Amino acid sequence: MSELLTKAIAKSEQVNNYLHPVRDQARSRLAASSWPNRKTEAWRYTPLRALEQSWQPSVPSTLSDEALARLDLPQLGSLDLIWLDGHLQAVEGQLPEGLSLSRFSDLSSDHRQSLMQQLGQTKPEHHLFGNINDAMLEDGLWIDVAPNAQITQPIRLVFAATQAMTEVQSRVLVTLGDNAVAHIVEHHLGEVRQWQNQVFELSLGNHARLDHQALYAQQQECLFIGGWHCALGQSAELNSLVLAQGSQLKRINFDVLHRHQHASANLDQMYLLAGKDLFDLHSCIEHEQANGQTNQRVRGLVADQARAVFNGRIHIHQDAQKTAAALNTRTLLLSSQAEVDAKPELEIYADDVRCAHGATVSQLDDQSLNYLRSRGVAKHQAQAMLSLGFMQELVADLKHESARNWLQSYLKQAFWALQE
Amino acid sequence: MAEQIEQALKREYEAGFVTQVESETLPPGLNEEVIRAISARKNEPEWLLEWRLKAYRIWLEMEEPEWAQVSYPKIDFQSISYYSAPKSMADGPKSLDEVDPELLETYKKLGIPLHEQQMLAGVAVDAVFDSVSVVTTFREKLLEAGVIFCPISEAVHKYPELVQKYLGSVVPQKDNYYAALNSAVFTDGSFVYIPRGTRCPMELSTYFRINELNTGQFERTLIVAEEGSYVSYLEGCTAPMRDENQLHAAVVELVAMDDASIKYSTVQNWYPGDENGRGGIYNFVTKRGICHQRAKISWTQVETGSAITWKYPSVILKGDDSVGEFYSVALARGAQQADTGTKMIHLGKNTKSTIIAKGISAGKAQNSYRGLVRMNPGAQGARNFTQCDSLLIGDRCGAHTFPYIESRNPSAIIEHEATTSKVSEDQLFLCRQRGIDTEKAVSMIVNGFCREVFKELPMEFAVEAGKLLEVSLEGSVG
Amino acid sequence: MLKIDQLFAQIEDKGILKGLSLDVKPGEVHAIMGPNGAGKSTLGNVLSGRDGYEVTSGSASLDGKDLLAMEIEERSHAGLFLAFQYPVEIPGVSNLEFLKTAIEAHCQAKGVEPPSSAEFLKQARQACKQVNLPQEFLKRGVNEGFSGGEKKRNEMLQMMLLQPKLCILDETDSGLDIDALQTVAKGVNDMRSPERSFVIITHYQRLLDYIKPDFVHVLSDGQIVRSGDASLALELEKLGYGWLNAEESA
Ligand SMILES: Nc1ncnc2c1ncn2[C@@H]1O[C@H](COP(=O)(O)OP(=O)(O)OP(=O)(O)O)[C@@H](O)[C@H]1O
Ligand SMILES: [Mg+2]
Repeated sequence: MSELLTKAIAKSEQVNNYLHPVRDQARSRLAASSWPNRKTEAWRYTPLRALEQSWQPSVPSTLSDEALARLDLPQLGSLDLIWLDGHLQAVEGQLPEGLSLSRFSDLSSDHRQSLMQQLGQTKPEHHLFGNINDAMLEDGLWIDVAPNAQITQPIRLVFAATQAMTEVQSRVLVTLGDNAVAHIVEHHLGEVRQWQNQVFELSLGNHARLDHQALYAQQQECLFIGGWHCALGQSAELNSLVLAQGSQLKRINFDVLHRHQHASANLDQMYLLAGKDLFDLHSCIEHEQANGQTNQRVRGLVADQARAVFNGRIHIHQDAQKTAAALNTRTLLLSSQAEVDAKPELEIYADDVRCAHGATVSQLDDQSLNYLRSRGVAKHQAQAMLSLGFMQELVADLKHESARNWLQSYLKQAFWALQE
Repeated sequence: MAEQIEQALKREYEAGFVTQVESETLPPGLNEEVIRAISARKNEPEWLLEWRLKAYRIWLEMEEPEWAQVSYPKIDFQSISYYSAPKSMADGPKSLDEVDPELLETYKKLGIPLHEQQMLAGVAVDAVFDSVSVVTTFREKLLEAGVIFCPISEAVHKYPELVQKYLGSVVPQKDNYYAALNSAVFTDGSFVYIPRGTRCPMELSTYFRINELNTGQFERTLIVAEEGSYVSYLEGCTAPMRDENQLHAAVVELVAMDDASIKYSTVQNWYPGDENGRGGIYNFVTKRGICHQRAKISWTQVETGSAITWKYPSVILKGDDSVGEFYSVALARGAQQADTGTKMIHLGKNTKSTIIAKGISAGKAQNSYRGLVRMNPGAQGARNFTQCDSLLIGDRCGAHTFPYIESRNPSAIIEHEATTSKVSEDQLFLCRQRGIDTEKAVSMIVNGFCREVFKELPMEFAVEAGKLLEVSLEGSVG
Repeated sequence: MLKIDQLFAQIEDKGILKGLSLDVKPGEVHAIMGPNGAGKSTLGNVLSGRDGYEVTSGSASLDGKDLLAMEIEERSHAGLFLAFQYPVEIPGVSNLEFLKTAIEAHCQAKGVEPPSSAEFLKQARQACKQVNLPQEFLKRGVNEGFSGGEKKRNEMLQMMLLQPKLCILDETDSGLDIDALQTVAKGVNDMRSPERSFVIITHYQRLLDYIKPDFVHVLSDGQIVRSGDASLALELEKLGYGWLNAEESA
């Protein structure tokens, strides 16, 4: 199945625009890569069979007003950017001061240069699908927040899948200047048979803060492979919450790089899987410099014949003294055919650090179950209450009220759908 | 301060001497002829030669594994000699009086007197020197209880049906690269058989010594505990200090039938190489046990030696209500690299496993825990608890944790925790303020860190092992 | 016994002790009080030789021997004991093992036979009783999972077994319940002798109700700014440290 590789390599030679150095580099990396198999550590538990078919490029399209209205989330009060099958729709309304949105293809030559300096800065070289994305790179969106700008209005990025049997490569670059503040909400949806390969690169300046929520709501035949690579400046702060549902194949690589001192990352990640979903979350936290802090919590519910894969790596480099990093992952298996494969990893090269990880896989705790039942709650109801509570705990900690309400109600709805 | 601690961790390798004996050593190289030669020397039956050759052919097809967190130059398997034995042992094991005094002296120097009257009462020893067993003590006394304890090369002749039944039954020839190699060229090791309902009256132990230059040691140990029996077994290992690396690729198979219990302890003190990573043993070992109904296998290991350790003592929990345990201390100093851990494969209902792994890294050493806990669909109500703690000493070493957790059963519970810490300045200050010097203090704190594991070592060896660790941690404080 | 003369000490270029002098004679009990951050714990740490503190000038001696020239453990062997404000935990190392090692090190330094195991155990049990810690605490890891008060009592236990000449107690009274406070006071009073001196760092008068000090000093901004007898503590309790400053500036 290295057909995909061949195609990406071919495409990299066809496109003709100023982004060619990115494509050229990716081409040579791809030429040296091989297609993952069971022995490839990063894909050990995640077969890529579902990708085996011929995908057509998606074409630009528009949605009816009615369909657009359904994508609307008025309660969030967000500035919405909508991608239809990978094609960004025109953005309406006034942009807040300090925020600039530019398509790669629209950049002036000065800006093109600075874009070229930013691209590929946070994405690891060995990331196969990142390289495929690079090789096929034609266009993308650059979201830039100027130094000191405080953008409190959430910027919602909606990725909707409508065209079946298509392949969508999308690319977003987010840069926050020093002391900048921004709030980004990712919203992925669709159920059609589509292959999406997405690369998100983010870079936070010194003392910048990014609040981030992502809802990966694609289901069924919507196949998603995406990478989220974020570099933190000095004393920068990243607060991220991810809620994912499963589909036939969904793989998310979530990287956080502490490139400077005193940065902090609070990462909450949740998934709810059912049917024959295959969901794979790979997170990699690199502490390159001292005094950084990471707190990661991962919770999963796995029902039916679904499979969850989690790989959580924390890497403390030699100079990263006084780092405090903790990862906690808990998974509940809800059915006898559900599966989970978890691998929390610590790789530590500095001695004066506080690092820990904990992982549990289990059913619901009998004690709490019995407690509820002793108060008269029926068993299946008690089970549902506890499982939902297990997930809601993380959402409840979300500070932004309307985002919290939105995700809470989404979570509930998704949970009850899973119970059926 | 870190320097002081590192100093305190330095030590002399006391087992690093060479015994001057005349040896008969096969020339370096590996091919079918060599395997036939080994087999012929041991006068083996045809089936075993065939078994070896099959393993060799499998090995030729395999690739050297590269997934471990260790790095070393490629091993040239043709430069190693696969058989070496003291000339005096040419006619096979004999009674103690006939054994070359030089050999007896070697073991005495290592703290293991082989004269029964001088030994720790209650401990039987099989002493393996390069490729052969020198002597096995207390055999008659053990036989009275029905317990068989003898070199495996002898068991092949005396108990062929037992050996043929169980050899390779837990670790098949094709299991992995080093197991295949071992199956092709294994030389000596111990065979233990505990009959039904018998509690082995003594602690059993095997002491492995590599002496000859350029030889590898490929021992094979097989322990079968019949229904309701119990045995506690300990192995120790040392080698001379040499600038060349030497290969040790052992296979250990344990079979615990219904209600049987095997306690297997290792105190591994192979030569670790010098400060700069010159010399030392490459220790690539496959150890695995299988538990039938309500059986229990407990691995305890104290790994202080070897340039490279690659070792994952495992338990297949096949029978319902069976129990697997793994208690490990891995100390890596200087340029040592250790990649060690365990696999607990839960197949049966209500099976339980406990993993306590303590890793200590100092100097430029790299120490990794790698473990697998798997709950298969049939592992109804199974449980695992894992605790991995790392202690880092100095800022040039590394401590890593790679646990694989796989669950296929919703009623199974897996709990895994890992932490890292260091010997803190506050702890050292408290000790020194109370009058305890740095060296003692570090040794005490490190021992404290390992306590949960040490208390699992059999009583008879606790003192012995304690001393060994003391030696490992003592040294010249500048 | 303890003689400190014009001691200046700093941490990472920040001056903490700024010309502190103190003279403690055999058998005396000195109380040191003073606002948070004044340098009280620093004094104990500098005297016992903790890393990270740099003595820039001045001297300190114990029985005429230059303390500052000695290693941490030598100072301990010479009879200096510091009961810590925040005792650290040493997981897995049992209290008993720890104490035995410490006592053996002391005996070795003095060139005397260490007590037999049985004798040592007897002493340890006796000391446990005196500080009101159950015997099980001897088997537990040093301070491992001890409550705040239990840690402080464990410090006292160590002091009783090591029989030091000079005991510095750094806020041993904080975190203690009323009974424990009396236990600690009784321990100190039992140990008082013409050959042994105490420096008691505390914020509260109540400990001094039980342990009668011969002198009370106020340490502020790295210096002893006021010395007096036991009544000074009472005055401080009533008027606070502000009173001192007001008086100075007046
Ligand atoms: N390791 C250190 N690094 C930097 N500053 C320090 C350090 N230790 C102490 N200090 C500073 O030295 C000053 C004196 O501290 P010290 O602990 O001696 O005060 P103290 O009088 O004991 O206070 P308290 O009553 O709160 O116990 C404080 O300002 C403190 O912040
Ligand atoms: Mg203090």
